[in-house]
Amino acid sequence: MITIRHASERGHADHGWLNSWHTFSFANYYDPAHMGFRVLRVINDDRVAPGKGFGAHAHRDMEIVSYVLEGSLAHKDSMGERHVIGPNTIQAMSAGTGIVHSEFNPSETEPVHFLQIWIEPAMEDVEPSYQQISFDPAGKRGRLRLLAGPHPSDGERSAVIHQDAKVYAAELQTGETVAYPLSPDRFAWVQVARGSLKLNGQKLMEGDGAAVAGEHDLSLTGDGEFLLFDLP
Amino acid sequence: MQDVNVVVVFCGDESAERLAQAAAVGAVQGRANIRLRRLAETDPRQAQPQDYIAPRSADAEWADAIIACMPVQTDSLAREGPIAAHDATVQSPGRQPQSRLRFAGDYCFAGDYLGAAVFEQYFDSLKTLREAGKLKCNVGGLIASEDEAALRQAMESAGLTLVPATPDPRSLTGARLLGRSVADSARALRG
Repeated sequence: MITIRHASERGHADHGWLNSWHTFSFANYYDPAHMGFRVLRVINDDRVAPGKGFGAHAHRDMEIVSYVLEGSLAHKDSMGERHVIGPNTIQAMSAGTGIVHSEFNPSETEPVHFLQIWIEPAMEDVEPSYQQISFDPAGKRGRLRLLAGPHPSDGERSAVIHQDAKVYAAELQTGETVAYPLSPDRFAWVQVARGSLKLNGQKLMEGDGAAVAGEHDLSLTGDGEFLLFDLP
Repeated sequence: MQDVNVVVVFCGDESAERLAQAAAVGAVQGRANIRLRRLAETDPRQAQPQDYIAPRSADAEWADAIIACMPVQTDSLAREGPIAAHDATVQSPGRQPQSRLRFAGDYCFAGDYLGAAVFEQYFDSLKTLREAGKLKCNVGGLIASEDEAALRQAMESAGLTLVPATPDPRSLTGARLLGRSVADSARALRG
């Protein structure tokens, strides 16, 4: 079964400096019917104005993955990590026992557009950690590029998270198709980052998400970029 | 476990910021909700970092406990190794690299540090809120080098009972322990 979460049905917050769409309940947006999917708790589609951002705040016991689509995002945290990330980079932070961090758009002129994803960890109280992995964008063209998973990857580098979940990115040009076999006991979420695609024949537009349960073979065709979550 | 809210307020240079972050992490480890705030100074050498806003009345009204962090002698932080070494070489786009630790030390003890006075004003404002019946917080924590006695008195005048200092409270580890202790004390007081 595929259940589509249309972009326009998501929670929305426009604070001027921040234009955010919440796939699942977040901050002032609360809908008990959309509290997450499996261990996927948050997908925020954020656009932050130049020079603005999220001041220092804390997290605990959450795997936080950020994926920049356009622009750049500056990160600073209580572990002493200070970085600026752009597109084709995965940033994964395990909050574990507790971290404080801030995120800002360091540009004076360009907005930043990024997805922030929270995944519930399989265990609490892990040591906080930060990972940042950049990759060649060719690695996601016409194929699924693993961004994060529970184990170090044998091939392409990916972030390791404390959950039996995998996060992939793919960029398709018109007519291209990727297939993904989903194990019988697994679930998936597809999030369209830009463009549009068809998931097993069902049309998804930019910002749409789709919950997948009880399907074994996923076929994605289209023109755009999407994230695929393989979930327990 | 009952929710408990901790506001961490700091003033000054990067040493205070790092101690404030460590105290906040400790409070989070104690399963507190935290807000991290920076008291603005008037010294023009201190650019206001965009990572923080100034404490508001609403923060004090929200808090079950308040932790105050001021700059400390940097030797104790430098001893903690990689983070301090990392910070000392951080560069900002378009600026020359500078040793922030050295700057912090110079600034802290050059005699023009304004943080203590700013903090005393802040605690005076808390006292006013207390008298208006708007505060519920009774627990405080303090990390400071200079003016510690005056600040302690200002916090106590605002109705805050300070938790005992942790061993080596001016280290990151000590600050984390203090944050944890403050969260635990605030929760115990709330019953």
